[in-house]
Amino acid sequence: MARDQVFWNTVLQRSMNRRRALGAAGLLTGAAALTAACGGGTKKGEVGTGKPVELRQREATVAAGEQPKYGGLGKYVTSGEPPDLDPRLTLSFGLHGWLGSIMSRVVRTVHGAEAQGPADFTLKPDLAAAWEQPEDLMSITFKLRQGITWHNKPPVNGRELVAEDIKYSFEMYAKTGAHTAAFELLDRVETPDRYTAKFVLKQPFSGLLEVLTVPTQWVFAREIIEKEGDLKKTAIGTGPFIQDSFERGVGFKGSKNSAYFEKGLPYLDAIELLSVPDASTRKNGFRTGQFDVLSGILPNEVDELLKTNPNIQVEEYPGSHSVFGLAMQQTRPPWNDVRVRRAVSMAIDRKAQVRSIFQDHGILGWGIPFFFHQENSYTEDQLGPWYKYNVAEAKKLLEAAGFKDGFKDTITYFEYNAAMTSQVQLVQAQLKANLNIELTIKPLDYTTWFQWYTSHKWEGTAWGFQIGSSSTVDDFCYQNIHSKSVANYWYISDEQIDNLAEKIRLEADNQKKKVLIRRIFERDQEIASRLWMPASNPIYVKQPYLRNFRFMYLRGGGGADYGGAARAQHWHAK
Amino acid sequence: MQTYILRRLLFAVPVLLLTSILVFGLLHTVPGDVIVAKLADQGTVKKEDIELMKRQHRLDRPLPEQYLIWLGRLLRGDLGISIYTEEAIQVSLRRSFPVTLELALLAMLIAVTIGVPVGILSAVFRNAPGDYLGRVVAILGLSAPDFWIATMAITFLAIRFHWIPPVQYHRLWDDPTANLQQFALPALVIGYRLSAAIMRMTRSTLLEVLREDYIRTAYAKGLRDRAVIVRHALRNACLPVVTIVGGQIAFLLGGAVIIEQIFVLPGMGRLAVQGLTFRDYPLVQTLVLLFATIVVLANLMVDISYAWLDPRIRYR
Repeated sequence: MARDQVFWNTVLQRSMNRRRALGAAGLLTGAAALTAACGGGTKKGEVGTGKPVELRQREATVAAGEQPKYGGLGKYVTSGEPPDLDPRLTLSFGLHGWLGSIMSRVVRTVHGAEAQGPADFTLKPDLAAAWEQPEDLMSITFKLRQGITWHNKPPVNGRELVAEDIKYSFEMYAKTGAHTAAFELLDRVETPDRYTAKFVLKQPFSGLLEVLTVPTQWVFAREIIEKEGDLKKTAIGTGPFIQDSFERGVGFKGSKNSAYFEKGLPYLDAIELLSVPDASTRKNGFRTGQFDVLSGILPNEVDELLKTNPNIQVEEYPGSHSVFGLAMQQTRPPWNDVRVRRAVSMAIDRKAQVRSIFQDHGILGWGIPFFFHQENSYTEDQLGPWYKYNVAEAKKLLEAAGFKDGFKDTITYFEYNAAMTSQVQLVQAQLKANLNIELTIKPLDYTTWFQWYTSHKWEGTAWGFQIGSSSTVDDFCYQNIHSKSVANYWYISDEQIDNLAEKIRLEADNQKKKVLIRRIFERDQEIASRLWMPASNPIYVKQPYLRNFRFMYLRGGGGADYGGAARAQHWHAK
Repeated sequence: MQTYILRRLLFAVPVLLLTSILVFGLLHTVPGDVIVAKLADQGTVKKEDIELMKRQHRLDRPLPEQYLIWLGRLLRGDLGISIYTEEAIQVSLRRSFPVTLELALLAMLIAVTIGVPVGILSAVFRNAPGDYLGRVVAILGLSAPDFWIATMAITFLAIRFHWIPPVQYHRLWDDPTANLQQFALPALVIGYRLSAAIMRMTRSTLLEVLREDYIRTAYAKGLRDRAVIVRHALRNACLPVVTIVGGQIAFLLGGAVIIEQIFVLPGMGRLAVQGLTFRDYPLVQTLVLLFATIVVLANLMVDISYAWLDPRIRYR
């Protein structure tokens, strides 16, 4: 099954009963076994320069004939540390990457060996056993599994999870905190009986089911809030692991939940997620076996690691989208002229960036994940004429816009990763050399940068971002881009984009929705309102003994990402 | 002596007060806002959320009022609450200070153990091959930044021996072996760097003292080399060395910021970085005041030790 079909046939399916869920699970198990049997070796992949390079793929998700083993300590590492443990108040991966192992969602997507590939978003029951969405898209009714118990810790003390818990959690998410945008269309949650929760919407919305699969939408227990006022210090859930400790500057520790509702899981006896801010220490910690998996590394670092640790597994996939791009103050001259934006885009040699910074293991840059509407990564032609490096055409456009001799402006940024400064400097040098546009680089520290960029009042240009936790169609095609959205920091105000964004929210038909997304992608490229920059392919390195870890687009796989729930299926072949 | 100490402590009060005003003022002139930084993790920053949180933390009040609120709390023994983590600063300090203290003491122990004997030998055997070697090692220690030495050391160990200190912090009383494994390398890195300065200072002051008349007299009386150096020369040569050691202890107790980051030690340095990164005003103000207090006390201790080392010095 094609990846995009998997995505749409599942995420947008509107009803699913227990039998169908079991059937799907059976099919998936078969597919997973097939995938596992084919694991290992290398694969050719399309990359940003158009030149096929070997994707680093030395994978042994599960080798043929291997049976899962129980026991062991799963050791994970992250660079971040959350401000506190309250899932309502933050979308930090430092927190949600951990809570995935402790808490549960109403419904989830596949991970590990369940998945056919990194773009497989097949729905799986989590707390809900089945669900149904009527044609009018005004509600979804979930039937919960019975007999799920909270972790046996005070003040919840192992009581049964019921529909009231769902109502309490999601009505609170909609009211205050970090999730209000995601649940702005939720009116209320009704609980007709102990095991039924009905989400009632203010207006039709086709994306609610997908929003509920995002690994930040955890169901929490009301007793904690009633006793402590918030969830900042206590994490109790219904997930595969029970939190034993959280120590600032050190990290999290958890142990196996023997009463976990997914029978037979988890495999590991205990897990820890350590907070290590220094990238070099993380790399050396992995090298010396202190962590099971490492993410966020560049291709040359993989080569370095393979020299000292030749048996490690490597997973690499083509990038799905760019988080960062050149943002311009386009409500004022010169950036309000589309010819200027297009000229600048054409004067940037993105292939050179991919080649020199990401050693060809990267993408040219775009904002909407390709698998939302097509199977394979975008080709250079699909990115449109303004993404082709064409200095002569760029000069003509700039001259036509009345800036023949170039102009001066600023480019402000915060260095989120090591490659970014090189990218900013390359853009600065190319715009000066090709169009005589002089951009003065203004690096800022994180806090100053964030206040400046999110103020909706910034000037010049910026190395702008899409909100980091973006993981649904609604995030990419509405929250980041609609003129009325609070997360549209790019100054995008385009009637066509607004119309398309609103239509996508209402569209229930998979095929029609794909067409709308393709149109919004094309419009985004056409008006050059965000000049996307190259990004590295996602690369994970894993210890030789780690099994059932699989990278998933927009979800991670249980490393330093949002895929904490996948750790329930990790096991050690040793 | 008691009067002197009391007077010094009284003088410290305006110094600390001025420091706190200066830090408070400077911190609020730096762009960036702790509330926005905290909300940043949300991906979306809503104006009404910012206003609400500012009210909750009294950041909507005029700056002088905010300062007085903080000072009033401090005088009542309440160090306040971190805005970013909402943890009591007292709790953060109880967790971080022992880490930094252990690192500082181990590093100082290593620094003095290496620096003083090598400095003495270098002075006594001046211009001998050992002296040249000691000086080269010291110059290297002074010129190579400790973050570079630390990164090189950790990478070398990982590649060559497949071992680096454990990245997970263990308290000394929970697991002494793991704790010492984790602290040995960073203490060695800092200790080596500090020993270079101590060694150079010991050597130069000892060389100066060894030229004094009373040393010649001691030799003329027929005293042995060891007695002359240890009992007569070294004690007098110690004063500048003590000054350096005192200053370094104060510096180390403020947190070895980069070393703590590299070796994943949850000490004062990491706490300070977190506070500064997120403009966590109460945390930074309290930390700076604490560092200033440590510096004042360390200087006082150094001055008191002068009187103990040199009988000619009397404080009134």
